[in-house]
Amino acid sequence: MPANQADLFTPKPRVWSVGEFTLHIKELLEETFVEVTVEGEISQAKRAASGHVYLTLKDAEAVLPCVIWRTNASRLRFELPDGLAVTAKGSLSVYPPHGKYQLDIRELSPVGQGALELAFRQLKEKLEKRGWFSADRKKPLPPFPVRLALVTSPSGAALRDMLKILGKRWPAVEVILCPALVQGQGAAESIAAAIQQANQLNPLPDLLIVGRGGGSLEDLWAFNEEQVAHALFHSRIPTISAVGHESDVTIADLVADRRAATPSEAAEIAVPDRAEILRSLQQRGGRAHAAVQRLLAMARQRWQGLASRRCFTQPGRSLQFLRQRLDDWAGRAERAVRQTRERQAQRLHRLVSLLEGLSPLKVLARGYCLAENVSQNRPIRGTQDVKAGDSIRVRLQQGSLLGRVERIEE
Amino acid sequence: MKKKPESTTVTPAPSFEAAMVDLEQLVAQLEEGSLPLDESLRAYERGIGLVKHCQKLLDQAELKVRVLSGVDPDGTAILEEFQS
Repeated sequence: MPANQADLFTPKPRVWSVGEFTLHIKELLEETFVEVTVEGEISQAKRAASGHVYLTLKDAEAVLPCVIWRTNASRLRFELPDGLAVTAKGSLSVYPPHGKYQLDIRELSPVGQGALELAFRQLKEKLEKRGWFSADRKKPLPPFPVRLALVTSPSGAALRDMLKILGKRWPAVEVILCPALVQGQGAAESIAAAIQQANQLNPLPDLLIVGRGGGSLEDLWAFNEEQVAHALFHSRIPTISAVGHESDVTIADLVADRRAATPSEAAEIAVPDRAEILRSLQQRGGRAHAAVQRLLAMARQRWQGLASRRCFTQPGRSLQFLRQRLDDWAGRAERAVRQTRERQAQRLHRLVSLLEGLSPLKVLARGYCLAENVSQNRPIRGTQDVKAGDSIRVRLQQGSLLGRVERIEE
Repeated sequence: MKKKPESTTVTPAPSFEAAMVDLEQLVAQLEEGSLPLDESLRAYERGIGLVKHCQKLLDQAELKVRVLSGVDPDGTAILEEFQS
């Protein structure tokens, strides 16, 4: 049949089922673009509850839907703001149920800068806006810490360095090591957990050092993660951050109350130097001594000032004065006594002469005589004082006469 | 100043800080010279006592390191001697 014949030579267009056709496209595209790198700007990145990240890459001409599956998405360090220029490495995949193609991104890198640099800058900006680095919320460090928490690896060189310096400078401190994983998977969680545990210790440590020795940016990365920043920011204990070497500044360094360039320096900042404190103790003792010496010297001077008054230096003078007064008084007393005595002598003299005037002897001198009864030894005043025959004595001015009464004449 | 044996490691240093503050004040008072002589001498004796106390603390101290090995069911920390 001509028709059949014609059919034989006219190629009959193949009719695909939608499924077959889409599958064909899928095979073609996915085999062709197993590994491609596309550069564009990020738009509308969104992390789903599942952990997958959906985003669109675009430039002036076109848009490319992309997905980053959970496993890869969890390794993303930086945020994906609109307009961020990136290169995305991955493979093209077609999703038949929606008839759409998308780039499955395995590696996403910012253009013109490292992913870690970018992540650092992004987190720094974010925390700076929250005021987490501001000087006025930094806690002061205790001058003489008693209980020091160290958040670091128990096997690291940082711990050995710190213990060596702590033991040398200030062995009076009690160290509590809070072990943490300081690099690799889970390090940030581990460090944050150790900081939180230190904050639950009873008694509470009065200072906390978090740190590790030097390493690559990747090694130190945990100290640039928000979890660690969060734990440090909410620590009740004052914190010192000591990560890597001098040149490495981490987010932890910025959030901590104090940054040390190295773990050794952190230990030096944390505790005072015993030798220095001993010197200052001696100095204070010396100052106290000097002050007391001064006070004593002043007291001595005052004493000497008082002691140099004349009454103390020449006590004889006042004595002489006293003695003089005493002499004076004595002379006056003596004079008074003498005068009294003279007065009395004169009086006596007067009395004596008066008495003399009255003496019977004076009468006798005038020629009278005195008769006495010899047996009675009494003066004879009248005839009644004698009998005839009595012996009488007649006293003359000089001598006396003895006789006998011959007769009494009335 | 004796408390439970557990806290003996903690008590010296706060008293160290207190002693340093005390000492500074005593020295300042003495240098100011406002105290009567007998009180000055007492302050001096106390100051010298504080100096000796602090020196003794520092001379006798030995670094003690413990490691936080876990938290018991009550939520209290388990501390063990650290073997470096």
